[in-house]
Amino acid sequence: MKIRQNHARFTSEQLVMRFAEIGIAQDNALLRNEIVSFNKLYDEKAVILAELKSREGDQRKLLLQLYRHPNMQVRLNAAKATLAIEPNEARKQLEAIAASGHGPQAGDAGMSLWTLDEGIFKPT
Amino acid sequence: MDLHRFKSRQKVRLAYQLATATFLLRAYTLQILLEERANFNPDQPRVPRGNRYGGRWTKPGVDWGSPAAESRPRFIPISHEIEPPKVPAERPGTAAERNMIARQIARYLKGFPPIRRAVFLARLAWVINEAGHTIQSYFDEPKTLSELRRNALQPRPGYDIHHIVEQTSARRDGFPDWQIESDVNKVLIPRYLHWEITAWYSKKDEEFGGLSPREYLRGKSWEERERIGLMALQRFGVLKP
Repeated sequence: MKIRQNHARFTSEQLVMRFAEIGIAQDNALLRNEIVSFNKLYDEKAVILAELKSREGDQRKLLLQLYRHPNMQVRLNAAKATLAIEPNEARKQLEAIAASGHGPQAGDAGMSLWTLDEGIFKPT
Repeated sequence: MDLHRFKSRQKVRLAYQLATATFLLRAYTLQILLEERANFNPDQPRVPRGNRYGGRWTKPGVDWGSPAAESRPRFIPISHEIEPPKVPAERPGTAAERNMIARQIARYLKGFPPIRRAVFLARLAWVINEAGHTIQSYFDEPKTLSELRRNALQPRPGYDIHHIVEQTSARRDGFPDWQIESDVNKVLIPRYLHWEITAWYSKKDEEFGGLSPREYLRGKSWEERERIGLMALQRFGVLKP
């Protein structure tokens, strides 16, 4: 599914599906050292998150279901994206990913926890 | 380099490769022998989960032990959730493809004991030839900072020199070469972890307001860069906490 424009046309469930696809594509990009691709996908993910956040009741809560996704990058993205609405659960997710040793997401999650504790990362 | 030193290095390299191949062959043979000698019947009843001897072979009338909750705590292995990587028998044509497969193998095997890693790798000749050292280095335990710095004085296959304060951005921000290239700023770390940390510095991230850590550190002090560089080494499992 390609969602580049007119995000308002899509249902929240479709946006969540695309969010998961982006995580899988980002994982592949990291394994191939394709950082430009990763960052393009990051931009698209940011637009999806802004759209979900703007919907009534903050529909980012739908991303909580991705905590059990088989792909670790999808889980990591979901945990970071829900820190503002479910801080305790999202933090537990980050801790579990950091403890898993599954690279590179474990290191990334570890740095997220550190930046949270240092006050550098301020989820909104 | 003179001929004598060249020959000596070649000799060491060949001895190392021979030792690796011998080890893998023995591991594979051992696995086959164990499978043949196990001679187990998968239909034989087992003690149900939740009892002290849960999982063991049993037969009618044998004591199952007390409920597990009453017995002493025991180690519970965490199952591997990721699927084993699909590895082609033939060596892929591009380096990008080969690197991706080797990295998938390394991260898949990280949670396994050494013997199972060896057995898995023994069947993949092109992977061993291509990335044996690099995959092996990915399983290293975290080291102290002084060990990592000392190792940087003698580079080895499968490892890269890593600058704690990133060299290119530090140079661009006007830090002097003597500081960037100082032995204090250099550590030897497993290659794939070097790639993971370098990628982390380059990719956009929520925690830095959508900037990459490299962009976030632009204009920051040497101390701040070093603080984050050391923390990254720690969180990516290279440096002991």
